[in-house]
Amino acid sequence: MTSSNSQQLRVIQMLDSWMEHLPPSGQGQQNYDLLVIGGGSGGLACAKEGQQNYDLLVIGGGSGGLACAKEAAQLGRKVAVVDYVEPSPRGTRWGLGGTCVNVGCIPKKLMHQAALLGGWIRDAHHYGWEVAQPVLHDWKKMAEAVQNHVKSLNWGHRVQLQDRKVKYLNVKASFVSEHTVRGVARDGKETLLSADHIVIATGGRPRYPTHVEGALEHGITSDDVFWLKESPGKTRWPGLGTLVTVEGTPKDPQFFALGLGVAFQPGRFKSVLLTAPEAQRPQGSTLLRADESPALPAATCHHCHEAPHRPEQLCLWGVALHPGTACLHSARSAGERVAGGPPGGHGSHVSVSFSLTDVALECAGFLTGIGLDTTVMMRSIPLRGFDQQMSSLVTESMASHGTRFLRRCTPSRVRKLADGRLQVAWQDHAAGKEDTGTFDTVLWAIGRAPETRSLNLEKAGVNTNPESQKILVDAREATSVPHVYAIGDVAERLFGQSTDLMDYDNVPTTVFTPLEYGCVGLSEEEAVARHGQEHVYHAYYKPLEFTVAERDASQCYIKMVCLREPPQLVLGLHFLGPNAGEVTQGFAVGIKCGASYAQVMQTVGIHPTCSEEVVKLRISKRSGLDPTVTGC
Amino acid sequence: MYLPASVCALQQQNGNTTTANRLGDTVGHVDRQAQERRAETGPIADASPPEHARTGEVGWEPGPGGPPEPGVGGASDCPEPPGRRPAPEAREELRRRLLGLIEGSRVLVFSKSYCPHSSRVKDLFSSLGVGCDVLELDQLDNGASVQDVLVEMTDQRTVPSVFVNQVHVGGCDRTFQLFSSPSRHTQAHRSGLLQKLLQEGSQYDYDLVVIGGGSGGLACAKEAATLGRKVMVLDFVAPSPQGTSWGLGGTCVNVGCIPKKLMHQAALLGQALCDSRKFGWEYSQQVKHSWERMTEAVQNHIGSLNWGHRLSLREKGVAYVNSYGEFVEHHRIKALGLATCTRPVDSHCRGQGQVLRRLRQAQHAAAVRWAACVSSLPRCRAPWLPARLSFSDDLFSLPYCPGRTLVVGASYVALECAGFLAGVGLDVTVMVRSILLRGFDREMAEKVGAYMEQHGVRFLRKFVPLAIQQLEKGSPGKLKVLAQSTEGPETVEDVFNTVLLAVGRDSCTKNMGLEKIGVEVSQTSGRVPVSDEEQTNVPYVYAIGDVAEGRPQLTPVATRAGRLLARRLFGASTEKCDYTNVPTTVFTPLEYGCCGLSEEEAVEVYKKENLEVYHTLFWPLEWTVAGRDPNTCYAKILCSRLDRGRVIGFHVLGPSAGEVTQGFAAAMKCGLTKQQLDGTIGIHPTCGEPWLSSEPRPDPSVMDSKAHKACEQHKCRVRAQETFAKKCPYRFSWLTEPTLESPQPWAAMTNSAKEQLPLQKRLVPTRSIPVRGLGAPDFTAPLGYLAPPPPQCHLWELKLLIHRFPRLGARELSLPRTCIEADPDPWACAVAGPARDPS
Repeated sequence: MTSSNSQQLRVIQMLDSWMEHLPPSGQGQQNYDLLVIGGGSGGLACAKEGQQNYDLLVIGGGSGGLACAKEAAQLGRKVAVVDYVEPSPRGTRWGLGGTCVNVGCIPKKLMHQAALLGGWIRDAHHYGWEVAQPVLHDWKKMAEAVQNHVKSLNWGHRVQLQDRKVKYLNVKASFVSEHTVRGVARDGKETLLSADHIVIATGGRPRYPTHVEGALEHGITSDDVFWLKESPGKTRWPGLGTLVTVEGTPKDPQFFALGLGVAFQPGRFKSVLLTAPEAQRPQGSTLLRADESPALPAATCHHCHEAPHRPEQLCLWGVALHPGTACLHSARSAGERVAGGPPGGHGSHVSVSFSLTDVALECAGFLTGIGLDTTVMMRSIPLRGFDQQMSSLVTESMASHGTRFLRRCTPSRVRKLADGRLQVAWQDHAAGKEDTGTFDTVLWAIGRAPETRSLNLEKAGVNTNPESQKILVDAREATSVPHVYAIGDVAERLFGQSTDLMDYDNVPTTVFTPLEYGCVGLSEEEAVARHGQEHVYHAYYKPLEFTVAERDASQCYIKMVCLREPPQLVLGLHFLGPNAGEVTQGFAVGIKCGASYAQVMQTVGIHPTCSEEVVKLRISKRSGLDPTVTGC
Repeated sequence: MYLPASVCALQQQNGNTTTANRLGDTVGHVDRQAQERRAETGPIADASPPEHARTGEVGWEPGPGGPPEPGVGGASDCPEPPGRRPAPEAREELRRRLLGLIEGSRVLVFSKSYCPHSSRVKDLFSSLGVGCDVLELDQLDNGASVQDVLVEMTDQRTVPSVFVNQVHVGGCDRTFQLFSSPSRHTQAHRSGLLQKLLQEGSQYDYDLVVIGGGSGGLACAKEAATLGRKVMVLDFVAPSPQGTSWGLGGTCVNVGCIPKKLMHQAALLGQALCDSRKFGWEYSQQVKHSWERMTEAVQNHIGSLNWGHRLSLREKGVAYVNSYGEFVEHHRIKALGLATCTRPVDSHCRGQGQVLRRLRQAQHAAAVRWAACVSSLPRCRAPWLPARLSFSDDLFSLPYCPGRTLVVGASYVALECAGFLAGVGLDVTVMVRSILLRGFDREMAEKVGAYMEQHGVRFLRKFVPLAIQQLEKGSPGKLKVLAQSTEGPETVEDVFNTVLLAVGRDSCTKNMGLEKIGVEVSQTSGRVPVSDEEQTNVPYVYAIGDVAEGRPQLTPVATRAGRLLARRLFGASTEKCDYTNVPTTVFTPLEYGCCGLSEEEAVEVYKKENLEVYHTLFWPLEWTVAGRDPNTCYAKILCSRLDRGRVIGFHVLGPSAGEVTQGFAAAMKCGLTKQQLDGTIGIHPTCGEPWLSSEPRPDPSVMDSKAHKACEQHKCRVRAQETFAKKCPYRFSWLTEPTLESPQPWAAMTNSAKEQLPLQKRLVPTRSIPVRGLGAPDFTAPLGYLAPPPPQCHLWELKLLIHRFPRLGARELSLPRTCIEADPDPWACAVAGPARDPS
């Protein structure tokens, strides 16, 4: 997970260094064949079999990969991009563009915006708007809008590649030899590709806590949450939209071999979707997805020998069905049976996210914001690597918005209950006891792992870190094989082990929690560790919009970390409040320009904005004075 | 009254290292004399009290007792060993702080808690019933340095060291001598010099009188009070023609930024309500807006702010009088109350003291000016005028919905009002005489107007009102407006519920008695010309804020000027208010933030050929799903080619423009260049991002694919880039030092040279937050070399690199070989492969 500039800048550097070793474009055509023929033992053989040759092959169509491919294409090279999204255990898959576009910042920010809008609707009353109650949120509508936007971005990326004559292949890549890559399409068709230079930019995928029983079967990750067609919390239709499972394993193992049922009753249940781990899936079973549902008619019911109905609203998502055995009728009747009972008003428990990366907090934030009951479970501290004072304020503000926190807890087991909800057992380290709770959805956000296993890297001789599975690269992104490069999340720089000392100084970031947190530069702890003494200027302020809306602003806080000795260079800025991203960006540029405390103070504020408070920071922590801003 | 050490510490932090101030000069002069004398007489040890010089300065005649014998004070006071001498700058700063303390206290005693002589002096003052500030040197962290500086200032190394009304009295013995207790001296000496000294400070009632309780005035008063001064604030609001009046806090709080922003927020929320349906929120279709409730909420907030200002004045010990201040004679002000217009609260100012005025601008002045602009409007000034016309001052507290509104004027106030009125669903027409947003960037102003026009605001351009006739009374009533084109005989007639006049503001400098003390007032603008230290032509009268001529009329500017003025006056610093690169934001429906020069100004100042304009249209992520127009938000920066691409103008049109602009304004203070902008990493996805990727003109586009429509140009550029990449491989590589040879946009004066330039990089969005240790690349800003001082980590990283890749490091990094350890690394070979050959 990285920032776009950094990747692109590095791509530029990389291309730059290649330019020296590649012949000029005129000779390039001549050398083209030579290079391929010389490209390893397999190269020659493959070339004769109509293998495709490129100057540059990019594996992975994320931000870094696309930037690299486009840049190389602009320099007149023959480039191919290979991208393939391995479906998540839930069966979620998406298009070109990588994590950011599909399951990262874009959908996240949009859903965050939806949550913000919810807050504004509540505010609107104070500003004279008369909004009739009740105000409800339709997950489906939001998800559709977000997904449509994401799809348009996918399309945009494809068009851009086409414009630049970059070959795009939707195949899963694995190395055959140093210069050759085998691509396997979804239908099993194989392609051989060879290239002078190969860039690996496959990125990473969320991790599952494999030691937790039932984690994979019942949990989802950030890969899935943005693509859920139904609300993970089911607050909208009490008793209607609750997940229903056919109790127990069906008698006939031919049906529902996975022990998971599909229930559907038009107008009663919105949808049912469940999945099973690959290992438990029967041989030859196929994964059905909603958009593949045309495949359903082929699955004729063995019991009633009727062509199965295809209810319009049915959403099958990752339900593994044995070929020819799926019976929607039985599913439906099962659903009807269950639904015949009292509607299960299960309340509205939603998600538990374990461990706290920013994604966890962001997801929890917007889920709470759209009215779902959300609990966050954390093992140790929130937002590791960020300023701890700020992160505790972030969690405080989230708690005041209704997110519950379970601190110092580790999950031990996830079990599906008869009513379809999930029972989670966890170890409470603070109390030293085991505890359980019931939730609708469990979202894991414990970190991301690089996607390198399926690449057959050993065939090419590319070294990886055996622990993290990341590809080891040097400062120029080159791996142990000179013509193979790795960028983005999948790469690990050789000297990057001691991340603490790396220069993150000027990388601004924003965490889109309900109260946004923007920061650039060092955290207070880091500054103390690096520079010993430092000055911290801080202020609790109240955004003007919050006053009339009678919102609680006790967590709106700004902190600026400066060097002690004049001219008090600014080491870090931390901003907690609305529009933190917008505020931080400009100051990040300022810090990049070597801003000192005095210079920031000399800047005239823009009245009345939140960012104005940054240039009015006068109370230092050491003075012990009350940092609350009063008046204007 | 003991001065706690923390106060000292606080002042230490606030103290500004600048040159000596006026007061400092005075004392410095004394010091210089003392030093000269010291040079003549010998070492510091035989200290002679500086009373001669000192008393000569302040015009105080020594009493009959005459100067004491040298060494008298020292004999009975506690001697102290010389302390460690601090650095000259630190000492200078300390000195200034001490001067501030001395200035701020009636009686100040430097003492040591264990010293019996100090206790005697303290007892003396308490027996006299005089409060004295005491600084216990042995309880201060920097007591030794304080003492050093004291020696410099007074030539007295011992404690106690007593100052009365800024006059150094001396030590314990000397104080008692001056006090001339009746037991030891004759009755004639009973009212000794000490008492004289003590009384001297009471010549004026206040150290500072502030006329006008707006942002600037309050800031100044509070700051002066913090510095220990006796301050009075006079604030009186003359009701507007419609009878609107308000409390403490000035324009900003009552009829300016605060209510405006809140109503703007109400309008934004209306927009958000529309958007929210697209984001999945569901509620009943009918959404109405209640003007009354909004006004009430806004007024409640303003009331609380008024109260807060009152409270903070009281807390700081500032006297506040709600009356109209008028000069009677020099250093004398008459305060006229509302009820008893002749209430004689005579306040005097000290000889060296100051009267500071910061005047609220009068709302009725707007009408006068309007009449002046449209000279053919005598009828509008008929007695019914106030009943039917609103001014922006009245709008925020209007008890009823204004209904169909005509806004006359195109200032930012006019557009902001029109914007939020339209935003809450009213029918709004703006009548513009000539151009929108005079003084702002023309292109941006037109875009602001275009957006408003798209969102339901009607514009009547090149029209001026000719006559306004009341058709119906009521709230709101009905007004018939007749307007005439400025370009022809064409007239337009329409009926409105409210006519809002927003044609500018005049300062109320009349009826203040300024002429009595001879303060110059500009005839044309009615404002007061001031020096760069806010001083008027009468030395002790200062003007800040909107009333000062040629200053930006912005709250933060006034606040800042006020604060700095108080600090300058009372010796805390000499920092002047910097009026360059003042950022501001216009809260129109689509907010417009700017800092620095407009394009027109920049062309005028820098000439077109020296100017590089980068701009881009952008589509905020929130707008995508909401389905708003992708080609609306616009960002523009102006760079000077003469100055390595320094950014001289910054303009943004988009949501949260204010929040965005602020940080960039701070960056511009630090001399931001385009290169640095390019080297900064964007926060994705925010509205602050587009600058880091603005395209050079003429190629504004949202999608970078558009940039490739011109195929010929594209090929040419590709070739150029290849050549460039070959020629200047160091251009992008971050391990080498920057070279001036690489062509920069501002260096390319000719078109052919411009062709050679590399493409502006557009950014592909990606995740915003690199999580350390979780897949984030270990990224050291590759363009870090562009920043003036290279980050410290570079060196560290270089060392590590050398350590890891000895061969690479030795040749390429050109660091001394001695620091490279022999570390056989199997990777070194592989790495060296594709690396460029050093030869």
